[in-house]
Amino acid sequence: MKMWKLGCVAFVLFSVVPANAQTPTPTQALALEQQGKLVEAEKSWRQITRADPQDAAAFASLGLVLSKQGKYGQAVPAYRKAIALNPKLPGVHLNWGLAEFKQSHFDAAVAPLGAALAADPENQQARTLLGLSCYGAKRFEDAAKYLELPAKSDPRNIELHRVLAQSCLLAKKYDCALHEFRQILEQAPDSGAAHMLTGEALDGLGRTVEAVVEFEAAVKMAPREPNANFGLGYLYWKLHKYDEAKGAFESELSIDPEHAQALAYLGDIELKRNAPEKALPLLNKAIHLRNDIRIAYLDIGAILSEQKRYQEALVALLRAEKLDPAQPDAHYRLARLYHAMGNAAAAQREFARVGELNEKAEDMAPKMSGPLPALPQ
Amino acid sequence: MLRMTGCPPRSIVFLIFLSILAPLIPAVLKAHPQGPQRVPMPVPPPAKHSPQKKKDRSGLPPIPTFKDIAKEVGLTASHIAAPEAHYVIDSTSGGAGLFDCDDDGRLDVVLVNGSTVERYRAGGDRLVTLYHQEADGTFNDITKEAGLTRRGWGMGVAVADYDNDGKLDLFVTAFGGSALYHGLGNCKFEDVTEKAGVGGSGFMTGAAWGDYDRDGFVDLYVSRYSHLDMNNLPQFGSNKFCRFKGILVQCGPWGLQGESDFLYHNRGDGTFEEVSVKAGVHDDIGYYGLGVMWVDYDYDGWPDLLVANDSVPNYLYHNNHNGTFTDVGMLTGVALSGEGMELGNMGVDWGDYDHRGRLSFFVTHFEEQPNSLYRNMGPQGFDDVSWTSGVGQPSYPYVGWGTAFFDMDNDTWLDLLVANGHVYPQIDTLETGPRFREPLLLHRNNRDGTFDEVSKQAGLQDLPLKSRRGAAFGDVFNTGNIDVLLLNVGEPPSLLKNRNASGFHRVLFKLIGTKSNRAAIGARVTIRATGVKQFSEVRGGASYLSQNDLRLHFGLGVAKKMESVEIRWPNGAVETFQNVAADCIYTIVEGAGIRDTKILPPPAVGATNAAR
Repeated sequence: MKMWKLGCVAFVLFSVVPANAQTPTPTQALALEQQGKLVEAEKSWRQITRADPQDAAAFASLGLVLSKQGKYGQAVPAYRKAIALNPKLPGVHLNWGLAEFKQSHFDAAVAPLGAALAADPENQQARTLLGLSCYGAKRFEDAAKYLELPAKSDPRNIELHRVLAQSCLLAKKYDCALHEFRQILEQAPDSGAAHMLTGEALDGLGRTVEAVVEFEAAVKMAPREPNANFGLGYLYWKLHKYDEAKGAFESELSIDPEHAQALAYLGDIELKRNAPEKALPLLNKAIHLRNDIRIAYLDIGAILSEQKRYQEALVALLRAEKLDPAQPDAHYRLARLYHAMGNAAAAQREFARVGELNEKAEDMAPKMSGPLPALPQ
Repeated sequence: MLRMTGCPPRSIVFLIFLSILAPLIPAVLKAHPQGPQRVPMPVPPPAKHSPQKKKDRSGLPPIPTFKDIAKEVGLTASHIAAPEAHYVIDSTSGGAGLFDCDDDGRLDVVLVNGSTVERYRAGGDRLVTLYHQEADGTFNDITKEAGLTRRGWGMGVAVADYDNDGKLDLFVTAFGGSALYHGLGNCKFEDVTEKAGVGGSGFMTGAAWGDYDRDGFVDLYVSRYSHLDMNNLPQFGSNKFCRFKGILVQCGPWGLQGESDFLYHNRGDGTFEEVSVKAGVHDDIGYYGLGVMWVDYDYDGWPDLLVANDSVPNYLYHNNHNGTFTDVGMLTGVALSGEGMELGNMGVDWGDYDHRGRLSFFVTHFEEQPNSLYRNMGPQGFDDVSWTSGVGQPSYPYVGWGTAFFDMDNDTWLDLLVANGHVYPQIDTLETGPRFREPLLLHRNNRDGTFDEVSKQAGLQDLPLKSRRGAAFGDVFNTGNIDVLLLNVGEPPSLLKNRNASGFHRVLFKLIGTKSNRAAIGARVTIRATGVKQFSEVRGGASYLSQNDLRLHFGLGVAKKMESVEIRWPNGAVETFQNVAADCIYTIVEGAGIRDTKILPPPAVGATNAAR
């Protein structure tokens, strides 16, 4: 997804923002505003609010004039004051939310936009802005919920569909994501990025083999698209097709020699092929570039354990464990390492943890089994 | 049997998207309202892929080919199974066995029959079908004459001589009540289940005979799967544990209550005492037990016990030499995968595949779980070498069941065969992915710790696909080659005749205990031929709910004789024989030496092996 396009969507919305604040203020201030004399109008509204600090509409108008000048940071307190004085003043929540949105304060935008939508549930603009804000605030499930209607009513707005698709993807609503990406692909069949995202959605649905097809298409269309080769390699890796995965990771590294994840997974493949001497340099390079690639630490721990370099192995495995304590593999390797080191108590503790985590996995079964199909009517 | 446990590989979404794009959201919105300018980039030449260098296999013998001759030799009885498999019990049956029920020197065949819920409620089906092998190599169904008439829902088989009368006995696990058939000779049996006290209860699956206290009488271990009430079965697709890849399927094992296991101690008077709690092998957690095997994995002379549990850790019970056991599965590393994941464990075998004098462990698994090979490292336990050995990757798409290490070409190195078949017929409704009927896997030992999957070269991919379960291995026609009997769900069996023509020598040993149990279950034979040491153990129950030929088979390569043959009898006594000729079937009686020698046909050389 090209995130700048989200900005474009917002820009369009902003350009049509209603200046519908009622103006019980002097005619002169309004006239100045209507004549485009925004600086003068701001000055007038400031005088009016000073003269009557209880005039909610005046604060709302001040906020609007400030917004029109792009002074969103100053506009927000004016809107806040207006709402504090009269929470039911029409249009102010929407303008406040928009001011927050324009500053990329997506979290802060959600509440006023939510209030605007609650006050006027038919307001598509408020709904769209709220959806976009939720997306920006990484509240993807909410974003998907709010963007569904606007996207449906504007089928040709690819960017809006793309944001919705990504929201669905990240909210793990893979059916929705797949539906959206497929719509996008119909309009832009040669988009490598769209193929990648469709692949991501398919993978999320557990349809990894089909995801591979999408990523293969993406790589064919945009061979230098960052992460396209890595993504393809990862899917192959996931399917244990290590020859193919290796080729894809090497392709990614030919574009970005310091792609830490590609290095790490390449190292993992070498380890699986019983070539620890090839794996270790790749894994070490990966963790030198990024210190949060868990599989690299896990594999380094396994190699060093095998080489009886127990203390170094311990450091690596503890790091792997820290990066994701909910995965049983690091605990299991730690347990066996502690056992080899003669630390029975620590080994027992880690074995117990493995048991707990695997038990939890039982509850995950339905998620891994995929969604329940609709029952026949 | 069931679905992947533990955390699956992460979705690519979280590898690519969250890590790269999501943090950019505010910055991109703020800094690039017009969007970035795209600069056309030259397309690079494709990166050089570095496929693993193909190893030189020219020193290995040609791969034998296999032919399914079941129909032509008269093995035509169909296994009984509900085509829709709406319940977990529809998926677990059954095993197959090869044993010589009339001591005529030819292996006979026993097949578990299976059943369905409706048929079981109406009394069930005969637990097994017994075929007698005639002199011309054909088989006749003698089930009724043999007295194997108990009905129910058969699961697995295991053979031994529990009363040391010189006639092999047959134990059949079954849902609701297992059966012990006492051999009377001439393939006649008497149902002594109640008298012996081994009928058990519940959903019994795996069984294995072993003399764990070395008193000269074989004892019996029986694994159980889950609790099932036949009048109140979990309904197909009814809850979150009854779906797979988005489709509705049978429920279980998750969500079902597991069941404990049984250990029957042989009192030596024809009766047994259930001692699982006292012995520490009760499985009070209630894991979903399937394949079981007795094995002396640490070579201390006392049989240990491996229990393969579906979707949960395996048990490896170490024999404490005092009638009790300690589970060392976790400590030794065979309970879980090398990544610490619980897997759907099904069929099992042990073998010294790398000629290091140690028994390594192989276990088959559910779909999207590699079959696991655990290399025995001695006191350090076991290393999971599934991927590095090459047995993991080919198995990944399939649901594996019956299996064994066996020397398919008599080159002295143990190969592996795996019978596959899915549990959900509904899987065929998916557009892509696995199917209910799956191909066999044949892993050829490359003599360097790795295996190549050679089912295509062996002609196995030419066979019709089946959903297979049990697999029994043995020299069915006394040719010196190991054949494979396969149970096919809802269909007649397959008998894969091994048409090995490597020209290599081989030998078989039939052991008869005198102080030890009569079928010599647990005896270990170690041979040396041209400096190569091999060993194997006699087992009453292995693979997936199946019984292999009790005779031990060794490929000898070019060796025409063995420098030594050492037998460690189950009671601990050791006998050694020097300069023993190849290409024979020897009957060796404990304390009395070689009592019978049958000469095998000369090793075949020729065109029935596939080119490499």
